[in-house]
Amino acid sequence: MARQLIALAMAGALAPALAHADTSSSSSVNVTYKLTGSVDKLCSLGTIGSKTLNVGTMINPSNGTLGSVSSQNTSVTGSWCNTASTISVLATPMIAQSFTGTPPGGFTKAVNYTATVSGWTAPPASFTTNGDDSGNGSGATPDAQNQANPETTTITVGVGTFKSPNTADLLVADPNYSGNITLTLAPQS
Amino acid sequence: MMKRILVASAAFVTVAAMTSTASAASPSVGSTFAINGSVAAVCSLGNLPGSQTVTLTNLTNADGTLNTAAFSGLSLNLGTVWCNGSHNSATVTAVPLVSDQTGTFDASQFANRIDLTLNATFGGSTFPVVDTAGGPTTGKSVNGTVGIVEGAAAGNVTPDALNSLKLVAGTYSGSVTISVTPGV
Repeated sequence: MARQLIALAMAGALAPALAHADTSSSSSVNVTYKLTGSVDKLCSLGTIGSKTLNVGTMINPSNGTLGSVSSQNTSVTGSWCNTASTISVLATPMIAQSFTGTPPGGFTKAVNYTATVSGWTAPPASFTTNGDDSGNGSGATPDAQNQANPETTTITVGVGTFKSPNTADLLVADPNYSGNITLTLAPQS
Repeated sequence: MMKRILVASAAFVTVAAMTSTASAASPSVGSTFAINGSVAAVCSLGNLPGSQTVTLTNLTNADGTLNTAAFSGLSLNLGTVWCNGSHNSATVTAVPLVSDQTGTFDASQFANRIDLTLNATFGGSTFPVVDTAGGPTTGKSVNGTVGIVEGAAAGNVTPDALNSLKLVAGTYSGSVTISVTPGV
């Protein structure tokens, strides 16, 4: 009789414990790996077709003033930014490289022009030099245009609209008038 | 002496009453008692249950395209795992890496999402492969079954090819989840 009572008591104690274990066993076990990474803001200028734009002779031989100068351009292929970007352009007047000092009255050793960077934004970035007869005072603030989206395209750099500081200026003779165009492509902060 | 006899008589009467349901002709009486127990179905994912964070570095190449090598070390070793049930269900879920930058971009040139393929093994059992390609940004899940098993578990996460697409700048987040529900 004593054995019977003990056995029944054990069965009574196990029942709730087993019920608890069943409930527990129905739960899922899982592991989650959260993956994170980042991609930095990047811009890349592509392949530049030509780093020199040669406009040829610029003088009107009949009167010594600035003649008709044709526009020139070159392409930069494969440029890209993976975020919003700003493209800017700054140019310096074309200045006679061999002529030293200030040109005589009525002469200029500088030729102004407009540099335009198109393809990346609309409107394009554009800078017009505004130097005096010596090429001074042209300005140093680039024109900047914003592109709101990631972009990859061909950029065209062109020069045109050549002007002497004064319409009647005669150009000093020089085998090399030279200026610089600086193109900058950068992610927006 | 008289007291002892009376007590003995009383004891005899009690026993007779308790065995009254058994055959009175049997020389001995007995009973069989069942003892029952159970073993719950349980699965254990090694010592790494819960949530882990994996930070991927150098997600892009110099040209802005996906650097698949960033995932080369992403082998999820869960250690020793086991399920003691014969019919366990398994779910593997993968959520693509999606950028927090959702602005407009040329989808023929850029991508802001890296789809993932998750191959998982569980003690020698292979889970169904899940590939997030074509699915929602919330991810995709596939279900399978796992039998009674003990062994190593691992998961391999590989990025789907983005071909020549460049990744939009930003912070990318995704996840992979391995879930096992024990069953008898």
